[in-house]
Amino acid sequence: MKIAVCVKQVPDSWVEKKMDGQVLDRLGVDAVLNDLDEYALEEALRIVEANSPTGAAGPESGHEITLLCMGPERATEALRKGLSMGADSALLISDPALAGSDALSTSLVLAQVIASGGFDLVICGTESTDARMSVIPAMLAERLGWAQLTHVHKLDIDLAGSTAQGARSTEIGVETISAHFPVVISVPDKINVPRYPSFKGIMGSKKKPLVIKALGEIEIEADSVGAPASWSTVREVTPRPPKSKGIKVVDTGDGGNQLVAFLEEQRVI
Amino acid sequence: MANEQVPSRSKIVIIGGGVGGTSVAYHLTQLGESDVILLDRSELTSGSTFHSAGLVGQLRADPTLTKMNMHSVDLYRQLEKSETPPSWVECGSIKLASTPERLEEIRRQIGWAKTFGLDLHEISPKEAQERFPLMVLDGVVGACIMESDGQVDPSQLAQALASGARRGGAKIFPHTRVLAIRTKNQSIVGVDTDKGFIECEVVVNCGGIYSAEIGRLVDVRIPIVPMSHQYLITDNFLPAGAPKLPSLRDPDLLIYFRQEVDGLVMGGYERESRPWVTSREKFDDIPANFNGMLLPEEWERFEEIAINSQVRVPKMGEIGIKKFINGPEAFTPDNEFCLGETEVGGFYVAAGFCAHGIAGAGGIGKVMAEWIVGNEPPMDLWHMDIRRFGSSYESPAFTMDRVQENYEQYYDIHYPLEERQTGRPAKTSSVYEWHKEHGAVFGEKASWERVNYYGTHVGDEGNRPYGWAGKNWSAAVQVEHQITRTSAGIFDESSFAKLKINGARAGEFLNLVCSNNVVRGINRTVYTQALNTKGGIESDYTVTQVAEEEFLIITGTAFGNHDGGWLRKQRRELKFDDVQISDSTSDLAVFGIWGPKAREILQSLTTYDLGNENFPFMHSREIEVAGVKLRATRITYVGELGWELYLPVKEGLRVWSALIAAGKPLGAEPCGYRAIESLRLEKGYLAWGSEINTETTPLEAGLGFAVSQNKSAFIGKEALLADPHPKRALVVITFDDLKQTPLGNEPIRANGEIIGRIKSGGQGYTIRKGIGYAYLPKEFTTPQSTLEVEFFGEWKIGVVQSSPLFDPEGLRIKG
Repeated sequence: MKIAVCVKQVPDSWVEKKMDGQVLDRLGVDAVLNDLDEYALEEALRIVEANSPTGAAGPESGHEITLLCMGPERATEALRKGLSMGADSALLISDPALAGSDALSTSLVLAQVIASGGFDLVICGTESTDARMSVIPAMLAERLGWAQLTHVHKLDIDLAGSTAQGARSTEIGVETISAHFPVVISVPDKINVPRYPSFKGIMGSKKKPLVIKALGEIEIEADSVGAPASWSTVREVTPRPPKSKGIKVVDTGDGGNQLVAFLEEQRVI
Repeated sequence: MANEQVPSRSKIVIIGGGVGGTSVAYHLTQLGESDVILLDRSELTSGSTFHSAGLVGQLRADPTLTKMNMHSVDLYRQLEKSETPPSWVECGSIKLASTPERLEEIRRQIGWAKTFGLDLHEISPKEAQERFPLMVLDGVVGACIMESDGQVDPSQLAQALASGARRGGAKIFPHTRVLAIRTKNQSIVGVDTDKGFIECEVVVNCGGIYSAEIGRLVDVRIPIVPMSHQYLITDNFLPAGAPKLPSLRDPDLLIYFRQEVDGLVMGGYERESRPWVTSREKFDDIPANFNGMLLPEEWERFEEIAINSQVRVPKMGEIGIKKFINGPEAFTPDNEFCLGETEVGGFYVAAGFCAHGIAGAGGIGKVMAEWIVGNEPPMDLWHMDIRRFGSSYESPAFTMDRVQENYEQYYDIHYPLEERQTGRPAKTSSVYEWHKEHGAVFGEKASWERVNYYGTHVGDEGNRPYGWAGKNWSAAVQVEHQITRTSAGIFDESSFAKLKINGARAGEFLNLVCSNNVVRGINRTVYTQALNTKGGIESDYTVTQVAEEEFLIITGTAFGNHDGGWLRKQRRELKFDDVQISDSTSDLAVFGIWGPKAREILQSLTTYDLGNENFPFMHSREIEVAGVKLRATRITYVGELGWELYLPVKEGLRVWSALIAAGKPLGAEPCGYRAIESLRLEKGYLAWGSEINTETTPLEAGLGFAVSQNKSAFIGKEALLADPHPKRALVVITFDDLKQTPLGNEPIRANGEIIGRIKSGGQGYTIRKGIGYAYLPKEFTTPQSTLEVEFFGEWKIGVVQSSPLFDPEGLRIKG
């Protein structure tokens, strides 16, 4: 089984972000592996471990996990983190022509390398913590013509039957959906608790293949991606408004009911 | 909060709200001093306290620091019962020996832990493993455990101390930045902050990594470098609720561990150190917003430690690494704290905690508060005193080299007489090249390059001492010792610190500061101490009156800054502003010629009559030697007839060469400092910092002869009068086996009870005995009584002797 995990390098979400004109100021902010992608990688690792004769991921498992990423060369740091968690290899598509790419460009590039990679599963996080569009998994499935199991908080892989089955919560209940390989899956953060890399993982990650390719090497024309080819442009940026005052519930006997009503209104329960 | 103003006046302003600053504030209020303001430019603990690992180990390489750390433990234990407990856990600490040398070190530490009543004891590797089951014992040859060591949450500790300080009346202002510090007549008058001016008398710089920057506000050099220091926290994997593991140090592998929740903290000292925002070319330049921040991981540098940690705890390989912490810590050039009052009156510093500030904080706060309130150090804090840093540390390059060297050797075993290697040669004498050409082996003191001995002197290897004393030992020293006793040794002592005191009231001033009468007429030389108000010895030196209104003080190489600082402080406080104090150390070369043939040799180079009547002992003259006009003082530090010559540096080689040439036919030779050490120990001449210090009085040390009974007043007189018969006294102890050489800190036992510890020691090549000095209760000071001294776990018999061991009548000096 070959699994691709799509990852992105993002500015550290714990740090206050600043805008540099219309784009995010990425200098001076630590760049890290997108938190939410760690859940995708963890899920991939668990699938492999469950289907590995040794119980461990890696070459002896008979399966392979590849990290796919599009971004600047600095994104190798985030990929190393993924490799130290246990992925087997990483491919970074990096090209100056990619600057200013929107989700359509990104999905075009990723779909191109996935299509030629012979993967059974593509697993993504639900969104990146910087752009928060949450559209890439669906776009990938569309471009590849594959099935999609998005937002599944529980995933079962039947390797013999080449089937993935997932559960996802909606406003009205829990859907169970399944699909044959190849399939694009996205997972939210409640699906698992990602592992921390161990020393062995960290040291071993340096020996794992990390390949950087330019657009030419994956046969994509420069003018089909990047800012000029983007369908969307940022026209205006407004800083997040300050937090509005919360609602104070004074308990005069019906505090509990008020609270429940509020949570229902917010669709939390 | 942002527009809040600070009070316009406070007696004391503390800058820095880490464990250092909060502890100083806490202890000041404990002493009843509540007029205290503490400022922090951001939140409390946001410098380096918050990212400290939180280990608290008490036993250190010097007694003072050990006592301070013991106070820390007492305090943290007590705070744990307060409303704001700092999460003190007395889990004990284990230290492993993975080499026989390390086991020796452990046994030596166990020995002197006994003199503090510390419960350090040796345990077998197996027992160590039972207490810390995660480890494997590959290569472990021994271990020790200290049950009362522990760990504490550094941020909570600072908060607990801050709460205590607030309860005691101190006011704490976070988010208040110091913009300037105002002085008048070299004394503090106030602090400008972004929230207004505070008039004050005392400023305590507890700025940690920022302390050098704060020092620069008043042109005080604080040689501290922020060093990147890394450790990590593992994922939880230990069974929840099990008893806390002791902390574990394996210095041979450069690593330590302690439990954190149900995981481990693991860190160490990288062999490749890395300074932060500081270089050999420039001082630290910390970003103005660097608070509560960490540095990027430097995994490559940490890898050796990561690998080592798996050697000892294999589980470390598999367990997830939850957090990698790289935070800057303030390091000094010698891994000791930087404490005390600076050259600016009322400007104190307590910084440079070298990644052991959490263990030290309690003790640091205590000694600093006592220092500030009492106006002098409460105990012998010389190793940590800011005045130990001489002018070489003005240089960022020299400072950096030393800081890195020390950081990288942090966990190494440091044998006695070990020499630092970086930044050398820094200061050299006028005949340095001559020494080099003639086989000198150099040591370094206060950045001066000095001759330890000449490798050309081949001596008896059979006298090499047992144990550590034999490590950096040279057989050449006994040869130079014998040359001095039988012919004459010629010594280059140019590094001596020289202070000139001028002015119409110079004599009056010196007689107030010095315990001896130092005004005995022009060309008279006097040995004296300068005491603190408790009668402790702040300095000892010789004073020569060279003119009606001019005195020359000669003091130890490393003490110029300290002794000069003490004199300048007294000048300020006693209001002798008209007296000038200047340092002429680098203007004058100093050569000593001592031994029975000294007169004959020197006489051959001068027409001046050097006979006893014309040139008596403790007199000084301007004479001509080898055609060079110089000052000769008849004095000795080795117990032999002889002179010290003070001359212009440019004439150094000429006079030195003449002495060597004149001495040669009579068997005189150039000799080094190690020989002086052996010679002086035999003769009972004491050295400040070795046998005497701020905690010892002249009466205890047998130096009552140098205290003037006739003077109406001098600093410390009241204290001496109040205790004319101290309960303890300095004694000299000998060991019949010359190779049984004490190093200092060995425990001393009589009738099965610990009665003291060795202060200093060495070999006496004339008396053919090992020598140790110690302060003992009076009842144990009877000459010829025997006692026991522990060397690396073995008790050896020593004999108390009357001092001096050599030439008690002083016939040779006056011969």
